[in-house]
Amino acid sequence: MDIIVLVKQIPDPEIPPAGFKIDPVAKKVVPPANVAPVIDPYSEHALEAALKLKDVNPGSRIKAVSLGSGLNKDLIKKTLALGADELILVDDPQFTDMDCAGLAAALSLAVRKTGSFDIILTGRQASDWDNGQAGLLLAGELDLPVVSRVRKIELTGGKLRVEKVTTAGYDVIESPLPALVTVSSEIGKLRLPNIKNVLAAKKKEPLYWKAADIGAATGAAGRVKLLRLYQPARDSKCEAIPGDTPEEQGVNLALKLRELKLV
Amino acid sequence: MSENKGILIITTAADGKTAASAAELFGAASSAAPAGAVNAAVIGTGTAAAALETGTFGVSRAFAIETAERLPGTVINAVISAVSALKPYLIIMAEDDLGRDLAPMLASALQTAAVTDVVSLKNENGQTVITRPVYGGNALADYVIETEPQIITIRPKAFEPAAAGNGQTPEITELSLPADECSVCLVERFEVKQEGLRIEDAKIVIGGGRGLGGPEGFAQLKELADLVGGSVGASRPPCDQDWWPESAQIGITGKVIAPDLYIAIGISGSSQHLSGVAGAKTTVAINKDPEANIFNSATYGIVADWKKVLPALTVKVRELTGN
Repeated sequence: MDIIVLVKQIPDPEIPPAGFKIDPVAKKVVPPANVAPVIDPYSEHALEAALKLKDVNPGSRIKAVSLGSGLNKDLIKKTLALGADELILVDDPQFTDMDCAGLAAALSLAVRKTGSFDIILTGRQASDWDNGQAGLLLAGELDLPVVSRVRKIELTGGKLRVEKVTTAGYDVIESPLPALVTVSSEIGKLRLPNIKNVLAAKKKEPLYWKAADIGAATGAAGRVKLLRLYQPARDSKCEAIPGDTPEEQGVNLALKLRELKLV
Repeated sequence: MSENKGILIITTAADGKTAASAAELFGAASSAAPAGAVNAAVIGTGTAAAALETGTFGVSRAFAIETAERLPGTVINAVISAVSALKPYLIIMAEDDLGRDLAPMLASALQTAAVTDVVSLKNENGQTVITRPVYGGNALADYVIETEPQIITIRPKAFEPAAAGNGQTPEITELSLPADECSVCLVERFEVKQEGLRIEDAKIVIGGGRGLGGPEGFAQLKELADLVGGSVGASRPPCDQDWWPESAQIGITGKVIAPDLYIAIGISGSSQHLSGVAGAKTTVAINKDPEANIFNSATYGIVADWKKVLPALTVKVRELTGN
């Protein structure tokens, strides 16, 4: 089967809160100087889902597609080292600060140019803006059936059978192909690359496309305007519970909670 | 200026009982820019009765969409019919299993836009300004949706529920779904039984983190939780390592909770976690690292080894409560 996996590059979400800075005028996050970008953790889960599908469907081909501005080739080449057959970097300054609809429209153009596919896999959300919309909107653009937040994917009788994570448990859902699936973390961590694939990946070069190559209109208007970006005011008036020993503090905490009628 | 007016609340019902989150949706509507009536569409089972109930929130027209499955792809055409009839400028739904899929799918179908997981709405000069956390809660973003209808999903517990009043009897329109016709079809639904009280319903939640060092510590948390009628949750690392069930993971990608009391034990306080407990009225942090981020948002803190604090706390609570 032909699999497309969408991979997003983001600022490292593990930056400690103290190191997290924003430029309120530019309405942008300012990554610390020495912290490199990473592949979004949910994109990694989507890649793992693609690799799992390839494991049980020999002869499958995985195309990894990343769209953005200032993409780091060496970082995203990790997809090749793990077993993706091709990597396409759609890199253009035009793809900065797009809203979800703009991103989905650009992705749909990139996917159409990529060629035929049976399944598109993407993360359930990205850990930068946490919108959780791109996959669903892309399915709308491409008129594809879509299932979100999936933790298990199988092919049975030419149909897709997936387990979708729900608040109460999970749903087993069937969908025709081609389809789009957004992948949840429960599918499992991204495997480690093996030496053979790492060496093979070194010899492979990604394909580079600009906005014009996929026919993305310049200056397309967004539908959602970001008015302000700011850091929440933290009420840091944490009152220390007194006591000479941890045990005494435990007792004093119980008394405090009782005084507040919380227990 | 568009001709769209009013607000459409999309909520769910089971066996004629409206989802508890519905009052929060109406609460959110009262923070938006007022423009016309607030009406409703109810999706689920027993929807005609549930739709009638929305009259207590002042709804004059309600749509009942009867379906046992509540799949976004199955209900979307019926929802579009309701939108076409009402022409609202704003559509509000919950950030839940249905809403988080339906909002973007509806936005795509109606050529408009959605903003998800909203925590605050403001009326600024007649414009609805929408606030949501981004970067795992490290930052907040204020947005305006420039196309209509504007669609939002609201985070559970982020808005004060609207008070139900005497209201009125709404005009109900039942919208039927095409029978046995689905592209994306539900085969089976599994509910994973949670032991005890769900963390999202508990008034007291005891949370355990990586600092507990292993699954054994959770038994002690459970002892305290049982004593005070509370529930035990965990941050992400213990769930990843199977120390505690994933169904009780607290955080932006787990459960969002707003208990009266949250006691965070051995939790450093990642932004993702703090974002999920921001609604807690009182937060107590117990952690031996004085630099732990959790202390920045806790009301009370103890910098010490939890293994020494917790037994003393539990014994004293037992004595004070007489349990």
